[in-house]
Amino acid sequence: MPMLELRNIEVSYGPVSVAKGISFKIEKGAMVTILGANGAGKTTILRTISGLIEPEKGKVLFEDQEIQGLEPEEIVKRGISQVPEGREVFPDLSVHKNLMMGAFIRRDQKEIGKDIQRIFGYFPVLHQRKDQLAYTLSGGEQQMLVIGRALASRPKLLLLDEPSLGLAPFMVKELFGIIKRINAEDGTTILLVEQNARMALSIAQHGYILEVGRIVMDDTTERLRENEDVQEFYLGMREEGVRGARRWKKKKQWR
Amino acid sequence: MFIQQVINGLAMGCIYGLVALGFVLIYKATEIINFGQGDLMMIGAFLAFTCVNFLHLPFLLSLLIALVLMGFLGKIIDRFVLRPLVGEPAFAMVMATIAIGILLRSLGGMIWGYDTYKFSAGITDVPVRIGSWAVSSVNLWIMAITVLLIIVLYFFFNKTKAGVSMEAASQNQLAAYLMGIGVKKVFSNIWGISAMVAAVAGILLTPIQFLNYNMGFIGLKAFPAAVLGGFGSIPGAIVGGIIIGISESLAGIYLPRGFKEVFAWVILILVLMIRPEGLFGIHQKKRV
Ligand SMILES: Nc1ncnc2c1ncn2[C@@H]1O[C@H](COP(=O)(O)OP(=O)(O)OP(=O)(O)O)[C@@H](O)[C@H]1O
Ligand SMILES: [Mg+2]
Repeated sequence: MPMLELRNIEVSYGPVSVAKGISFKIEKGAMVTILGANGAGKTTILRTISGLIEPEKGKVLFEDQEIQGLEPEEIVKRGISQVPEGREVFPDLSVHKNLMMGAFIRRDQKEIGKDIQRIFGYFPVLHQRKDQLAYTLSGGEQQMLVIGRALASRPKLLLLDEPSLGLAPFMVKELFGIIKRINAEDGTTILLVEQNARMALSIAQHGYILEVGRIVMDDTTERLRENEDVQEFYLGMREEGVRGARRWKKKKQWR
Repeated sequence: MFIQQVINGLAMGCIYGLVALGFVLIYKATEIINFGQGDLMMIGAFLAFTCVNFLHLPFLLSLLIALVLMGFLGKIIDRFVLRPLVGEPAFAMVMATIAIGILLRSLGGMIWGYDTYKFSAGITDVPVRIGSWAVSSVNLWIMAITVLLIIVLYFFFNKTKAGVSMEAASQNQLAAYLMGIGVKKVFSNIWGISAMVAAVAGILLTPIQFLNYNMGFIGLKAFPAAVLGGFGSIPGAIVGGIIIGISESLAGIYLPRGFKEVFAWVILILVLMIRPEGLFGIHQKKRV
């Protein structure tokens, strides 16, 4: 039984259809990545899972129960936590209070304290800055805070929306190391949406490729890395010149 | 004379500040300006008055009943007027709050009539000597209760989980949803708290003004106070209220007749021209 399963999800914003029948699965304990160009619908999918958007059609199953249409707070309580794109901190709360808000749904004070220590272990800079207001942190530090805050709810499934966006190269590397540890050491199942396809394909086990609202590829990351189209369009390994013509042809082939 | 006027203005300013605080709480969380805040104040005062004068209950019990009923009233307004309007333009919501204000005022008139009542709100007016000045005990009570209320609200919004989560939802709604904070519940509670603060303001106002269905107009003067304070800051609202209260009071003795009534508006226009973000203006950082 997969931990999360989407069945034929369709979402539109007004007349614009953004997800056109999306289906995929994530097994318990796995790390899965979704790759796709800007506007492909990645954020839309994560928002649908978290209950911020209600799909027009289709089902979202979490631990075998339908969760589409539930209030976002109900979905958080069931164990799904999301790191949204764009550093959505609580700007006027301290770092520590931001983390405490991450644990809003929990009652076990002692365990929360321990988890926050563990989060400080992952991101020592947050410990140094714990009494500082969140808006005074640098962009990268805010990104760490948002990830730490999502962990504070002790999720079973962690959804990450472009966590590496805007980080310095060495930070990206460190961040992916931490994401890998969260998956391996804590056993948290992870769904990772990324622009940095190289990194994402190197740490996840399975990948889906999304193009304008449809999943066009579904394979292990090992095989995706070998795939010519993926190499060309997501890993940027071909020359510019042949790109236009090839892209059209290949896209035909995918559908 | 000067000191006397400053103290009168300070007390009146506390009340402007409390009404402004109601504006600010709702605005911070929901980005709605509640033009019915002054009329909520009137209803709160009349509820306490009714309990004391018609039901012959002790004042503290009456106060408690008025606060509880006002909390409900605030939540009802949120649930049945504003929640259905979520997603509509801000303009529609503001019109709705103006309508609520007018409705409450008419309702007040229908229930309690159009006469003016005297209500001492459990405070006996005796002069208190501080050094060489005599200060009205009413003014001291108003200041003391305002300070107490600010301390309670400060503690609530900074130290309790429920309060911090309301603060968080005011700062970033999307993130609040993702933390599992029930944003609808937060809005409902904010409306409840604002209506209760309005009731306190109304009850404090009655010993220095008379009780009348029209007293909500005071709420209009709290609007410049909120703008002066930066429309987003709790201490700002109170400081703004006090500045308006004192300057208005001094205008009443040092400037020609009629200036007292318009002084708050003069200040409002000056603030908007010189420093539109208010004294406690905060950087733009709210995300929805
Ligand atoms: N609130 C909205 N109203 C209308 N259209 C929207 C809305 N949000 C997203 N869209 C549209 O839906 C499409 C998918 O958006 P989405 O944010 O899911 O893309 P994405 O894959 O996350 O892109 P990116 O990599 O740039 O973050 C885009 O074409 C976008 O313009
Ligand atoms: Mg996106």
